[in-house]
Amino acid sequence: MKKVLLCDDSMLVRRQLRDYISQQRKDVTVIEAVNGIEAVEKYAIERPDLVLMDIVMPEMDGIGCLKSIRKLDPQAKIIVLSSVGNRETLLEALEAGALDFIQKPWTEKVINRILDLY
Amino acid sequence: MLNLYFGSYLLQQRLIDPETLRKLLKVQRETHLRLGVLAMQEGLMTAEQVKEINDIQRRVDALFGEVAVQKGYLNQETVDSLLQLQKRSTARLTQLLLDHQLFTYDELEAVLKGFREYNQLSADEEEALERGNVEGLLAPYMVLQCQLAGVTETEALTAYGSLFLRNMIRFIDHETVLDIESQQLPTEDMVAVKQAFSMGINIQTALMMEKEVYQKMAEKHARMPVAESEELMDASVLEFLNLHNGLYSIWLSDHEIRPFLEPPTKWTALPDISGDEWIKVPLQTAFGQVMLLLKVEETS
Repeated sequence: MKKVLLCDDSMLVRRQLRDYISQQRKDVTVIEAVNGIEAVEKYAIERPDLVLMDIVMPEMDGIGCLKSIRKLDPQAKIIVLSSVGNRETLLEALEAGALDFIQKPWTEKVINRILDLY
Repeated sequence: MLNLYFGSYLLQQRLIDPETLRKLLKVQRETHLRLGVLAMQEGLMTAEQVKEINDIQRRVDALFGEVAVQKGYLNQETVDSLLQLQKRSTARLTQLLLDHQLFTYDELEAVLKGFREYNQLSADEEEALERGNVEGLLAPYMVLQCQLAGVTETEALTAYGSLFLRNMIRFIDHETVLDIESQQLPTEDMVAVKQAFSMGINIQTALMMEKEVYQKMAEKHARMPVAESEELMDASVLEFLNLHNGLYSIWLSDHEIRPFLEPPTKWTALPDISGDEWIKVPLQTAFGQVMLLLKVEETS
């Protein structure tokens, strides 16, 4: 069973992704965090197989969170899922250690590919 | 999808791996962009035409643009526009793909065609855009609004409004039109959400509408019932604004502007938008009016 940590301050995004994954991917469980600080705390406890990380969040943004998790666990697999898909943010995310980048709005095809690939 | 960045498209289509993209993005700024690649990026010339002119240039000392005009592939006005566009970072990535032999010219032409098609509105959405003549009405309206507000960033804000209209048609309601004649005044029954971003100047963006319209918009965006939860309604409208601003950040990046977005929030007390400093764009949907609000604040 693959454990995925979903970090997004949007209740809607978390709900939609959680609902989709729980209905369509019986091989995946989802845990949630509403901001970067909570994500780092939950990562330390849960040690998920994969992290889906938003960028624009209160308290600690996605890039900061990404770096913190990677410091905690250099092998952490983190995929950025964000609407801010401009060149600079994409590069910043990849440089900070993100394995991939998904431009919102997500599609079922892309989510399945990411869950299978990583 | 609208306005997807080319690098994201390559990742999404698995045409490039993340590590290779990261390396190319790092050197993109220093890359001198060739005019032929830009012409291909813009869909103005084919790979065959570009290769033909490159062959000619190996034999004769001539500028790409001059030969393209002589051959009838481009006119002088288009060459001048391309020269203005030569700073565009999206096309630099295209060039790097060629320079690093990750794609041939022909392969890249096919990829770029797919990218342009991906970024287009669907036929229904294009029809909706034309039906309301939104593009025709919006530009002069934004020019006037910017003048009244005393801001000079007319091109950027007109692009914002245009993209917002497209995203409303794309994600919320095909019936969305610009409705300049009937601007609603704020009432107690209205709700507003906002998101600020900074890019040398600060721009406050907001959406304001009546509660019933807010609920409908939330449901349209979420594509699920949201009435049972005010929190879910808020999340849906906030996420739509966030999505739009994120997509707009790609336009800004194409114009060498790096914006920083703050998280979107609900406005607890409605702002006073009566002053000219607020640019007001009233949009009529099938379920009511949505007011797009923009305010530019010069940073100190």
